[in-house]
Amino acid sequence: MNTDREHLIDLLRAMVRIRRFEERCAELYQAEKIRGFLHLYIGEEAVAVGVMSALRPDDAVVATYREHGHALAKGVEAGPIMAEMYGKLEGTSRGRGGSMHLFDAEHRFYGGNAIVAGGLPLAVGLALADHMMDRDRVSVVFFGEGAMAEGEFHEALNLASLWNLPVLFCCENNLYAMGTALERSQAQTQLALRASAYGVSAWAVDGMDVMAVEEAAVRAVEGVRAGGGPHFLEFQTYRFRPHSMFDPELYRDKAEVAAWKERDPIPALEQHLRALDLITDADMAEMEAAVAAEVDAAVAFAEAGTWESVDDLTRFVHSEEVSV
Amino acid sequence: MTTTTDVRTLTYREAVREAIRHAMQTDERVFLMGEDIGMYGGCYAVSKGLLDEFGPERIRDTPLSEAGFVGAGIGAALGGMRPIVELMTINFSLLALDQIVNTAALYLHMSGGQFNVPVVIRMPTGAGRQVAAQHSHSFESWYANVPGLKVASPATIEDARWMLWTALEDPDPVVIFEHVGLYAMSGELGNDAGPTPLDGAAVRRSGSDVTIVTYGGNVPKALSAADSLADDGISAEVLDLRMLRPLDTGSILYSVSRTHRLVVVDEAWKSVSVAAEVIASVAEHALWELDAPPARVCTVEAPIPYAQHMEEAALPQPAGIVRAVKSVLGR
Amino acid sequence: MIEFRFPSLGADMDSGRLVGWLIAPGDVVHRGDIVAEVETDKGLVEIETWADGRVTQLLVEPSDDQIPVGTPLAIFEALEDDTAEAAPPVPTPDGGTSPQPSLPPPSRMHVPPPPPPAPMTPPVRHLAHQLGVDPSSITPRSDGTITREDVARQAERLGSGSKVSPLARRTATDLGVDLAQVESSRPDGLITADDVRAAAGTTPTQPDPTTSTQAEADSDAGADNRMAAMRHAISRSMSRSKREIPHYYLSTRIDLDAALRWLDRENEQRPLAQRLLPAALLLRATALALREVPELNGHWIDDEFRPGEAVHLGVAISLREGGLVAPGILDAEKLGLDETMVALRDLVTRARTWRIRSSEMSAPTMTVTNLGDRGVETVFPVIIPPQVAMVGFGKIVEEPVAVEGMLGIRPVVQATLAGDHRVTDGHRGGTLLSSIDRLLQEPQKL
Repeated sequence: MNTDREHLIDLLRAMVRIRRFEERCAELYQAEKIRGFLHLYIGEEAVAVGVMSALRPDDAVVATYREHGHALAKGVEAGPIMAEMYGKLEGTSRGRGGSMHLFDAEHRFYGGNAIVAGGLPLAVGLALADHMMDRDRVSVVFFGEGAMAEGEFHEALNLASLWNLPVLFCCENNLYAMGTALERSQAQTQLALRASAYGVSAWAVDGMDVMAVEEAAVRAVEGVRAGGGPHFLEFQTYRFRPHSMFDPELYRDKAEVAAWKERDPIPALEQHLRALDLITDADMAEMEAAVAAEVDAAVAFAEAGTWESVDDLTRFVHSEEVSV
Repeated sequence: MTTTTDVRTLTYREAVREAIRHAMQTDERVFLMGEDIGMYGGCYAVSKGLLDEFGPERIRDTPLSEAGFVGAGIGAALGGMRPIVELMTINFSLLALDQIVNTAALYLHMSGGQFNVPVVIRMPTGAGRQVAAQHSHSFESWYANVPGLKVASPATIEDARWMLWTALEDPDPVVIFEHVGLYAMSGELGNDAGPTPLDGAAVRRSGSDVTIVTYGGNVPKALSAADSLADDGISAEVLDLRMLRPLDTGSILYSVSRTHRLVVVDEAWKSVSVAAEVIASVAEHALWELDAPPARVCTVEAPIPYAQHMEEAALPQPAGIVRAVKSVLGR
Repeated sequence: MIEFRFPSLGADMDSGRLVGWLIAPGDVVHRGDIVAEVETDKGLVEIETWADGRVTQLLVEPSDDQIPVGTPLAIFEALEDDTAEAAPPVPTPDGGTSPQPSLPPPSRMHVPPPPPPAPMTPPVRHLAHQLGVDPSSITPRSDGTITREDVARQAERLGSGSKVSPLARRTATDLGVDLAQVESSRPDGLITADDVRAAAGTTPTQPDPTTSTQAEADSDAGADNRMAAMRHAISRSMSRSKREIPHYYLSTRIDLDAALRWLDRENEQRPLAQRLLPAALLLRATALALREVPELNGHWIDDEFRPGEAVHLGVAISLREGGLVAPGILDAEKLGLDETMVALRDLVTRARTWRIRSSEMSAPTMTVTNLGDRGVETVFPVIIPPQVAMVGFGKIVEEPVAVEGMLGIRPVVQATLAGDHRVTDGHRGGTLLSSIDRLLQEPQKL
């Protein structure tokens, strides 16, 4: 594992970037700049950052509707992401997808899928194509623990294992499927145990520790790429904010939220770096300033964006033919 | 007239098989995936023999996981392949509806034009073989309702042989419905036949008194009804829709504007059916051409029973089509 | 000054109730602090501030009132070293930014009350019910009442004895047949088009002259059918025109030198996609000229001229497959030159892909045909009923022209007007052509 100072600071910066970007999203939502559903990743940043750090640029990612962090960590620019949330033409999906449907062909970012477990078969198919074409790419799919109650989870794991496909299944277990606690909805809460029933290598990881996440992801990706078949990682994590913006959080205790916030992955890594004297106050201030500037620029980009013409409403219902 | 050397006779089933084989020989990105399509040879024997020819990687038997393998087909299409996904029947396609609608149909538009999904999904549809309620559905209209899909309904040997080719060339998802009553039908195919388009209806019999609009497994029934009507001096035009999405409204309007009378035959339940859409289009665009209220011959609104006489009574039949036409003509 | 406003917490939230403040004037708050509790349809929610500041004033007291999203709730003053961004205050309608603490709650769904039913006595209402007549389908008398006779007449009108097919109605209108005089030949009493033709003394025309041949039946429908349908429509419309409309023709030669010079200069400054074609100038000039001669702009319906309320300028567009359509540029007189060009381009593109709306096909109040690109110098247009005029432009050609005593080579176009003599005569027609000419001499004003 790479423990260079520079590398650890990169991980920290990637998490801070997601955190600040989303804090601004929440603010812009309440100011009615962003509408629709807005699901924030705050608290779970270590998972996306740690996993993406283990990938090659040509590996594919399929994510959920809580995917701003995944998109940012996969390399999608902040400006188009923000513009997408504004509904602007310059957004990642021309303003057609919004917060839940970020797409980027260049970075092999296949959404932004808002159907729980809907992305799992898709990742299996992407991996099937790579397998049949003899390409050594990995397809990574993120999903919440709620998806493990869906049939598509089981079908996808079975298919991937049966056909020995290069898929990395990343379960972000934040303990609540919207407002339904894991133990209230699933009989076996040892998630890795369930995945391993399909003959898949599976284990649980502390999702609040970016270094642990990265270490596990590197190991799993290496196994997948080497032809070891699909792997499953359960990242134990927590969302600090409500499910979406309009959620009074009747289903969990404030004390529980407070306890998890004590394990916030960003201060955790920062303290680790400080303890080793690898980072100074000035470094942190500089990092925050750079991130703030990037977020400001993203907002400015979105504000300056344009609206897609209503005349284009039916464009891309089908592919555009080359003109005759 | 063509001479015997220009045509050969084959069944609908053989035509579909030949289409799959041809596509797989021509394009290495094409593969077939579905339940019991390999070792078993296909529930309707369409893919019989293909496993030996192409091997298990490209004739890929799947577990009973409709959502899983349809989704995987969509993913493989996104990953550069040209999958033909076979669902054992339309009845089981409901388990894959989420993937077909929420993924295949939406991805191109929702991604702002970035991700097209060149997948072809084939499935048998329809009733008439005494397999009872859960194996006798005709839900083509469900799929035809969804922008982003193209919905094909080959009813002739030529379309069975050549529509798949056009569908695989299409950059977007195409759903092909093969009526179970057609597989054993045999007919002539011109050796000069080639790819048939994924738009446009076709006049299968021309006539001047009434237009019978239909598709899929009911095309032969409508043609048979038209034969009997001719004996009574009634000249019926039979229009085969071929595609349920996009619907060729222009051809429907053109035919109705000549015959001024319309009967639609559809094996789905009448309410909210393709038949309803056809009549709504005529009401919108050609009301003043109608010289009598249009009629629909559809399946009786009840689950389809097993007993043969009950099943026959439930489904559109040539006699019922004849009665509907005569009623529209005031006879 | 920083306004703390009632936040929107979801797309489906438009108001909420302030339950309590967690801050008081004088408190210092920081971005992210919980400052109030709010009750919404979904339950109690804590709301946070996005700004740092010192609370100076609480504008709204906790109460049972529903407070609309966006209402200012409190005023903070910025801290000395405050760098946090505050949301810009939203200007109020009076131009200030003062708080509006007493806004009314947003309206719930307002369903307008149904209009009161026209007075009917209970026996009349009972009769209507018996005969299956919807009382609201009956026009009340001048005193607002509906009588037994009104109900009976409505029932008769809807009754089985008077069912008429849509085609029969159209045929009756075309042939001038009174439907009351037509008898049905069918057991169910439906009056069909053949019944109307029989009543009019004409032979039933079934099948139509365009009825398909075997060759057509073998073809693969689609475009062929559309083509045939279009040919059919053209033949019907043009036959009717030649049969019914007494055409007169006027023609004049228009000097386009000024117009084309101006156009060249203009196009030099434009990107390719925004360049203007001469056709746009001709259409624009015609639309403006029609305003001056309203008798040429409208429809001949039921033996009288009905002037068009606007200029919906038809454009004859020839299709690649052959045939033509003449959809309208709606409200053409209100469109500037650029807009006319955009509209023309859009119309041509859509016409060639069969995506013209039916309203555009029926709208034109006068049509322009431009056969110049086919090399024709003079066009003699056939008016499209029910329109009463049509203007044709030929090819732009260079000709020797005498201008102010000097001979020069100038680009000219032959403009021809076909007019309906039932509505106008040559004098008014000539006015239109000379107006078009005049307008084209000052292209910059178009």
